[in-house]
Amino acid sequence: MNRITTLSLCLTNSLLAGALCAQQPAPATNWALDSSTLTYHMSHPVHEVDGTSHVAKGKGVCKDGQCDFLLAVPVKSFDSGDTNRDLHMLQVTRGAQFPYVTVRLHLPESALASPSLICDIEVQFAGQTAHYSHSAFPAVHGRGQPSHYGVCSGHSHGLQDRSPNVSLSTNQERHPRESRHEVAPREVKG
Amino acid sequence: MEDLGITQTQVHGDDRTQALLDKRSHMLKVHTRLGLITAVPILAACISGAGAVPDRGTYGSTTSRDVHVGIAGLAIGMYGLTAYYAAAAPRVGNAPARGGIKLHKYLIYIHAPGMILTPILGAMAFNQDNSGQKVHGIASAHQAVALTTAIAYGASILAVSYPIHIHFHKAPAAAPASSVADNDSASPSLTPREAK
Repeated sequence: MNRITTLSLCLTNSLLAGALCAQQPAPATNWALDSSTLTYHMSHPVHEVDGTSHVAKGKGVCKDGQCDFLLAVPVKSFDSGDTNRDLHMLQVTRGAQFPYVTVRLHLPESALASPSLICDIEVQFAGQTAHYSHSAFPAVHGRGQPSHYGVCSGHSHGLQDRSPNVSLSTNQERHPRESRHEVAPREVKG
Repeated sequence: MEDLGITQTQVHGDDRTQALLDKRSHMLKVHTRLGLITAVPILAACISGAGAVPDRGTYGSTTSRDVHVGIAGLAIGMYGLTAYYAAAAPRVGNAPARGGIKLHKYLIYIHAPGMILTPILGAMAFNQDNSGQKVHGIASAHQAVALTTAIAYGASILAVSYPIHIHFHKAPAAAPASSVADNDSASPSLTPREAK
């Protein structure tokens, strides 16, 4: 029984949304994440499943014209509505060995004013690290708060394998329906 | 990471828990496969059971009943093996069951006693029939208990399979050879690609 399961991890750069709210960026500005919604999507020949997490943590620092942001979310916090499936997801993504998915973004502070953010991203997931240069994050407006979204995907082929082959790639246009995230960023003056 | 309130202990994983998860997944996959395979002899036992009902005056012929007993014995043996892989799979975490697995577990309380009771009642019915008696008493419930068990077993499989979404992908139109390399349906790679 050869099965292929796709795990698509959708990550918001919600901190950047908060950065956009800044009227006059200070020389050193800290940003904290108030709320976020992250989703993964699983495809199976007879199942289509989404798992969601709302417990991401994040912060950002803009200094000397450069901004660095960090988002981290526990793998085990994703809820697909079935505890058995959640544990299986945890096993496939090596969630006990690598408990956090982290996303680091680096961009010039001047880019924050752009409607479509272009930044460098580093994603650590399932013990692997992927770098994406000049990835674009278009703006989305909802509930009066500007926010941004992006999609990264990790594919796990062959669930029987004890060491599944997980690879990462940006994949925004393949999963357009996954790209909705509500965020409430908060500026912290540092 | 520490600025986010995440300690180094939390960042570094636990190999022992991962090993437990691996073992659990492996055993539950075997449980799943055996469970699906076991459905075949259970169905065959139900079908063969219909032909094992003794007719008046044929008490001496036990061939159909022997066949039924053989198939049912195989089904019960495989059921026991299937149950073993579920029961012996290590527990990870103590979160209460949610989703389809919850109903799957509840149904154990129907089909597990049924799998024990059915052969006992069947043996009683078999002995009564062999001794020339009409099947009577609790043994006459053999068929009803067996059917209830089989239905609960089938429902248990469906409980962890529901909802089933079968989707068909539209075959991509023939593309020029030059554009195939850019097709997004190719295997994912580590090569970063700018999102549009």
